[in-house]
Amino acid sequence: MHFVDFGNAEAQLRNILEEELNYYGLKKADSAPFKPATKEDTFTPIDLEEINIGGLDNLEQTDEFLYSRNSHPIKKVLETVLMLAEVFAFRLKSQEALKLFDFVEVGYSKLFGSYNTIPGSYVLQQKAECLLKMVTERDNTPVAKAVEQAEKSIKVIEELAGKKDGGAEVNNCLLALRIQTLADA
Amino acid sequence: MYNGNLVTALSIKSSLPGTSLAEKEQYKVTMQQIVDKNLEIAEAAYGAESIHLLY
Repeated sequence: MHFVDFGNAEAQLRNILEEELNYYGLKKADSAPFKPATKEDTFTPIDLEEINIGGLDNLEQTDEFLYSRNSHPIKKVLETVLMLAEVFAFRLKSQEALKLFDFVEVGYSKLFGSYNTIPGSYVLQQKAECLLKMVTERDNTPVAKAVEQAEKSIKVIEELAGKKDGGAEVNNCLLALRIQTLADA
Repeated sequence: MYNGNLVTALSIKSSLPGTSLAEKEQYKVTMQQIVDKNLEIAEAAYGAESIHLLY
């Protein structure tokens, strides 16, 4: 997703997250509203403790979303948190972004029952990109972590696509590529 | 591209002062393999003249 004004995008996404959590009843009781960021304010981190994803722990016991996990409300919430993480990464609030990426990665794994999914792979790519932005002349240690995340992501995609060198699975791999590209757009 | 970040990361790693020549050579080979693979996938799916669709 591309935002013209990232400051505005962050405020909008914070509001959307607040509304989604209230609408779906996924906000823990007695938690304060997420404070919209303004230019005058100092940065307010997203309090992930306030997001109740406990419902994912017993997903296997609920028929409603067992076979339609994409329609689970937490999917929308995770997507919003993911977009916020991308905005934070772009604004070089890298540690906060990585915290949100980790949250979404765990959320997706609980939702889909595995880390090896296309959304999971996308999160790994975003983490790699975020880590690359953290590289400086003084500290280049994030590069190694970025390589690790990118390799994991590629492994997931190629496993899902059933990659074999020169095999007929090339169109499946291309499909995965296109999905990834669409997700990036 | 699903493997674009890996190419970027290896490229940065290659340019770091502490990276040995052997490692640089290894990264170069890996990056070339990735590029070749992407071209192969694009050619197989869209034809040689439509590679630009992926980039």
